[in-house]
Formats: sequence, structure tokens, C-alpha cells
Amino acid sequence: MKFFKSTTLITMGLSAIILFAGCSPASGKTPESNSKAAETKPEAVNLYTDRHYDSDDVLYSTFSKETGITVNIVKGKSDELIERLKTEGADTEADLFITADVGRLHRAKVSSLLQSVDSKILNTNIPENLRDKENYWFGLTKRARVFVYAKDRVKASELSTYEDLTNPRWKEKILVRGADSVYNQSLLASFIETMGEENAKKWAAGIVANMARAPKGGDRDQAKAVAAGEGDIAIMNTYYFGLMMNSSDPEEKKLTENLAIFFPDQEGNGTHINVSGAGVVKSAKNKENAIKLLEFLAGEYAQKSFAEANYEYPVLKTVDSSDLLKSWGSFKEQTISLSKLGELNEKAVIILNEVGWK
Amino acid sequence: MNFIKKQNLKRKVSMRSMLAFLTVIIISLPVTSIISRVDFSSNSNWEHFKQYLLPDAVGNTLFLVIATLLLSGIIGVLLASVIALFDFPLKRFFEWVFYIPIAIPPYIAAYVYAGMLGYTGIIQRLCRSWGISLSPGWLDIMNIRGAVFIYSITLYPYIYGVVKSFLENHSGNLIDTARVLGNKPMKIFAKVVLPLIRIPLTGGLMLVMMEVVSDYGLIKYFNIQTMSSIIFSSWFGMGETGVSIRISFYVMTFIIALLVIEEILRGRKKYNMGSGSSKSITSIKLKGFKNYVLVFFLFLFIAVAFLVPVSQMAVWAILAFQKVNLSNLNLILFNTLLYSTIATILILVLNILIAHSRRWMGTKSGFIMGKLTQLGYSIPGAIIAIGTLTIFVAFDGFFHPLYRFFDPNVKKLLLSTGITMLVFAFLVRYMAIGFNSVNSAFAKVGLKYNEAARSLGIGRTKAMLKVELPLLKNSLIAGFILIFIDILKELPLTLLLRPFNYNTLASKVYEYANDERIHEASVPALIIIFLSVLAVMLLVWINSGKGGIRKK
Repeated sequence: MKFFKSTTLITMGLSAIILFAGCSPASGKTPESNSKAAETKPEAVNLYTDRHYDSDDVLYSTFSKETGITVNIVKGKSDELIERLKTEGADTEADLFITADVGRLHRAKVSSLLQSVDSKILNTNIPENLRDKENYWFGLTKRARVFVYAKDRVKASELSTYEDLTNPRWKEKILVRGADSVYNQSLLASFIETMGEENAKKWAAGIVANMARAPKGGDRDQAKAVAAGEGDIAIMNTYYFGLMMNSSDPEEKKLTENLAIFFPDQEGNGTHINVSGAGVVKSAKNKENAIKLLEFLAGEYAQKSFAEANYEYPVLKTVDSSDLLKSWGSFKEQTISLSKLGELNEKAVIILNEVGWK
Repeated sequence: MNFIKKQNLKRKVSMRSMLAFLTVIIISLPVTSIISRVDFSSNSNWEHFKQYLLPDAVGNTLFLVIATLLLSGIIGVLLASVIALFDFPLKRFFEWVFYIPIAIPPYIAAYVYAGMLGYTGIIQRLCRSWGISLSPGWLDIMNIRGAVFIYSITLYPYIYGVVKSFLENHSGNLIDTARVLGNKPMKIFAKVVLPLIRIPLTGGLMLVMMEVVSDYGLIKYFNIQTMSSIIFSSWFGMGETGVSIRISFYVMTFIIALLVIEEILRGRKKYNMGSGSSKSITSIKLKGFKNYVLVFFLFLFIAVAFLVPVSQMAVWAILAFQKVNLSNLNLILFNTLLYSTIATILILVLNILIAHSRRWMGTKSGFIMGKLTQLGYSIPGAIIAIGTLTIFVAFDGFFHPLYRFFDPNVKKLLLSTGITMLVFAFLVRYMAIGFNSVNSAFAKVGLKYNEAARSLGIGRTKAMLKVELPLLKNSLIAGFILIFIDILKELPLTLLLRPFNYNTLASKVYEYANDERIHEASVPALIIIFLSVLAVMLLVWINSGKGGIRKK
């Protein structure tokens, strides 16, 4: 009898804890959302985003202040958020999906997670090649994938195209990160589009042959390796170079003085760009609000903030880039439709593996 | 009379076991849902990965695992033995500070060390200012050996924790006897300590192995091709989870095979305590010179594993402090602490239930139960998260009519959009860590206290609560620290399963680190470490304050 008691006691204790863990947040939430629902039906928009910048949070709160629409956010990795959207299906609470790579936007579209949006503001503010052909997603900011070189060892006049980096004279001079970097994947995808699969593969193999070391680290680490003399030219995003120039570490700032940016392919197809962008989720419950937020992000105020706070290039033509970005000069961009990058991403990954780009 | 009593007992045992079994089954549901998605058809993606990536990945993973197990095993056992066997200045400080490095996520340690040793790092900077030229790559840590180093200094506490508390609690008699017989410390170590700690040591090693196999942050930064990197690169690169799930399945099968082999090797050797009391160990006071040498080396180690990287992070945090957005810090702290604590307590309680009931089960069912709880730790967190999400969405779909009964306007995804799902996923993932601490302790105590207590007329569970738990206090505290700190720094589950506007310290760290802003990431990372130190101090205080079985 006694024994039975203690077992029951444990069972009860356990279930109490489980119930507590289980219900407290749920029950804590339900009345709240109910009372909200009972009031004037609060306006909200729910985001799944892969952009983790504090400056974005500031934008969202500005949006809330201006419109009275609450912005709820889940931050995660884009592929995982896509998986979450897939699993949640039509019942998902997400209204807007934001990510820092066009390949993922395309993937979300193909997985039928997004819906087409017809908005005059978006269509006028965002150039055609920076949004989906059927308006399933819209580019919001641009980053260019450029060369960063050591001023004392390389002259700008020696640099020209991406293809030139495969020239044997750059043997053991090239620094670039690994094959699983999505920026490398989209760079190669753009070459598959512009020069065909065969040549793109040759290019990748040529880069592998000229690498100064086995790829490792992030984009910043490539610039550091150039400064350290491990190689002469790094392939990296403008965004990270901007971050380094304004680093909180004085040593990192100092290091950028010996480095310079070069925009490749100015005579040819133009420098490769990728975008951060967003699409309205197919089963969005707050579609109107999602579109409002999208329009806000494509508007002048937000575009300015992207440029100023985050070293990204605005997509809105009337907004100037930040002084720092301007100091690097204007440049000719690849004009291929970014949808292509998404379609060709998988092929790019396969090529990278095949040529032994680690 | 006797007959009736036996009948009675049997019925009760099965009730408790049912409860334990139910727990285990629920916990393993997410893994089951992943396994059910495994597709063995040989599609082109699979062939591609098999041809180009798999050979490297298998080789690298094996090297990483074996080398890390060796290094972290040596570190963990040495530190635990030194603390348990000897008495020296600052022992109390070292005893607890050795837990702390586990609060540094391996990928953060990797960023910090790479930053320190890199071109802009303190060492190269000093060398430059003194005119010493270093060939680039000489200080390079971003390679597979560097990865072993980072994993070892951040993961050894899994081994240190269990081995130390095991030695302190349960080996007193044997070691004292060996000493009385005049054996030298080295011989005692080889002949008594090592055989004794086999159970907790293998348990700890398994945890380290699973952690290394499923880690993605560090190997992505160092760009090392492993099984885990294939799982993610196939998923992220190809946008499909087929190859990832299949590889996860293979890795899991491999780990389970190892667990089974380990169990078989351990075989019938069940250590029950030899004599009456489990006397805690008498530590030998070291004298003079030996003291200083020992303290010097311990200090050197903790400097490398903890003080130096943390000081570096502190410097960076000060540099970057103004750029870090710390609004909502209160809420973030509250979230992090509340749910870490809830999950940790649940994990400990459930593990005690399982370890307790297991002892009266048939070897096979007990064995299966033990292994099932470890599944969640053997595959990457992100994959577990998908399994959990799938289960919860299905559950919500199934029970939606019931929800509506209570509230007609209720949304369909009730649980799967709340925090419950995340807490549950913590259980799934970290049961293995709790299991290791709790089970090795229970295995050591054996059945005799329980039986003795029952002969005095109290039931098995009550005997466990009243007699055995106090005996196991140290092991449980060690378990609590490990699980709590682990959940404090947990990332992949939180990233994938969190509800709207839910942030933790670890997710803050990730948001900056992912953007290669390690300086800014240092601020929340330091808060995690600070909280871990607080947790350890709190437990020290509880432990010494209430006396209990703590030695002298």
C-alpha cells in the first residue's frame, strides 16, 4: 500500500511538471490572443526571417509605430524556415518570408510556399531583374561579390574579370571560402547562366587550381589572409568588407587600409550581385499587412536604412548608397534575372563538388 | 501470505515500468518520424554525394571522433582523478571551474581561437610590433587538428563531471584499501581507478562522440567535410532533406551499434558495492614542490580552456558593447533561465524514473529503454527539430477537434506554435546527458540499498527516494550542471522551433556570429558563461550548505 502511494506521488508530481511546462505558455498565450481578438482585432504581421540585423528590428518597430501593425518575428536559418513552412502547411502563422539569398526565395517559390503579389509600389520601386518574373518574391537589398586585393602586391590594372583569376599567373594567390557558402554557389550559378555549364565548370576548376590554401573561414577571414600575405586576391562580398572597415576592432580597421576593392567584369557581364528579399507566404492570414510591410521595406526610408546601417546597396534607384559604398565607386551589375540563380543553384553545388572545391 | 505479497509487488513494478516505457516511447517519437522518412532509393543526388563527398566525410569524421575522444578522455579522467584523489591548494576552485568550459559552444571557441591566433589577433600583432615575422599558417588553427583541440577543451567536462562524482562517491573503500596495501598512485590509477570508472567513462565518451558527430557550427567555419557537413550541405545546397535524413539515419545506426557493443563488452560485470557503506574517498594531501607543480599545470589548463578565450571575449565585448542591441535583455534572460530550468528538472526526473525502473526489468527491455533515450543526441539538432515539428503538427491536427471543444476559435497549430514544443525537443535531445549521469550512478549503487530498505518495510520507489537519491546527490548535481549549461547554450532546436518573438542568449550569439561579427557576439556569449558560473556556484553552495554526504 505504502509503495503504491509513493509511485502515485511520483506520477502525479511528474504530470504536474509536464502540465506546467506544457500548458503554462500555451494557456498564458491563449487568453492574451483571445482578448486581443476580442478587442479591435489587432493588426499583426508574422515574419519568418533569415536576416539577423539589429537595424532590421529598428525598421520593424518604425513600421509598427507608423501603421499600428505589430510585427512578430521568428529568426532562423532560411532552409530550416523553409522546412518549417512546409511542415506547417496551410496552417502556418507566417505571413512573410525574408531571406538573404535569392536561391532560397526561388526554392520557397518552387515548393509552393509563396504567393504572387500585385503591388504598384513594389513593381515601380524594384527593378525587374531583382524580383521574380511572376512576382512571388522581391529583392530588397543588393550585395556585390567582388575582389579584395593587396594594394602593395597587385595593381588594379592587373585585374579584370572573374575568369582572369583562373589564369596560372594567379597560382596560389586566390582566397575564397568553401563550397557550402551560398554566395559562392550563387556566383557559380550566375556563370552557368552567362557562360554555359562547361565553361562555368572550367572556371571553378581553375579557381581551385589557383587557391592559396584550402578554403576555410568566413568572408572576413579571406580578407585577413590577404593582409597576412597568404594570397593576393580574395573573392568576397562588399557587405563584409564594409563591416571590417567599421569594425569595433581597431586592428581590423587598420588592416583594410592596405586592401582595396575591385569590381570585376566591368567590360563584360558585370559584377555578380545577390539580393536579400522577401515573399508573401502562400497561406498568409495577414496578406494585406504583409504587403504593407514589403512596400515599407522597398520604400525610401527603409532603403536608406539598409544602405546606411548595413553596407548593403539599396534596390530603390532614387536612394543613394552610403558614403562608404559610394567611395568604392559605381559599377556595372550582372543583369541576368535573379530567378536563374535559384534555378541553377543545385547545378552549381554539383559542379563545386565535382571540381573538388572543398 | 508470501505468495500474495509477491503478486502484489509484481503488479506494482509493471505499473512503474509502464510509466517509464511510455516516457521513453514519447521521447523517441521525433526520431521515429525521421526514420520513417528514410528513403533508400538511389537517386542522382545520393549517388553524387556518395561519389564526391562521402569518402572524405567518413575519414574526417572518424579522425575527429577518435582523436577528440582520446584527448578529451585523457583530460577528463586526469582532472577528475586529480581532484578526487588529492588535496592541494585551490582544490575547491578547480573542482568547480573545470565544469565551466562546457558553457562555451564549440563554434564560439573556434571563432575566438581563430581570432586570437589570426592576423589581427593578439599574438601575431605582438610579433609584428616586435618585428618577429611568422610564416602565415604557422599559427593556423582552422584545420582538423585545431578542431580536435577545440572540441576537446570544450567537451571534456562531460567526462570530467561523471568520472569525478563517481570516484568521490563510490570508490572510497577500494582506493583506500589499495593505498593501505602500499600501492603507488600510478598503480592505483591503472589497476583500481580505470577499471572502476569504466561505466561513467564510456558514458561520457559516448556523449562527446555524439556531440562531435552532430556539431555543424565549428566544422562549417573551419570548412572540414564531415558527415554532419554533408547532412547540411545536401539539405541547404540541394534544398531537399532526402540525403540528409538518410545520412542521419546511418550515423544514428552506427552510434547505436557502438552503444550496443559497449553494453556487450561491459557484459555481466555489474559492480555492486562491496561492503556496507559507500565511503567517500580520502584525498591525499600533497606536499611542497608537488603542490606547486600540480597547481601550475591545472592553472595552465584552465587558462587555455577558459581564462584566455574568455578574456579575449571580454576585450572584444568591451570594444563592441555599443553596437550590441541589448533591449529586451530581461525577457531574454527570463526565457533562457525559465525554460532551461524546467527542461533540466524534467530530464533529471524522467531519467531517475527510467534508471530506477530499469533495474528490475529484464536485461533486454531495460537495455532497449536505455538506448532509446539516447537516440535524440546522436543526430544533428536541426534534424531532431524537424522530427519534433512533424510530430507536433500531426498531434495538433489530430486533437484540433478536442481543442475546439474548449474554445471554438482556437487556432489549429496550438502546441506547435508554443514553447511546449521547444521544451519537449530539449527533452528529446538531452535525455542522453541526464541518462549518463543518472544511470551510471544507479548502476554503481546497485540494488542492495533498495533491497535493504525494503526489508525494513518500505516500497521500492520510496526506498529510492529516501535512501538512494541522497546517496546519488553528487552525481545528480553534476548531471544538473551539465544539462542546464547545455540547454543554456542550445541553438539548433531553438532556431527551428521557437515561437514568435522568442529569443534566447544563444540565439543572440548566433545572430551576430553568423554575420561574422564575433566581437558583438561576445557580449551575449559572455552572459551565457556568466550564468553558467552562477549555476555552478549556486550548486556548490547548495551542496556544501546542506551537508549531506559531502566529505569533510
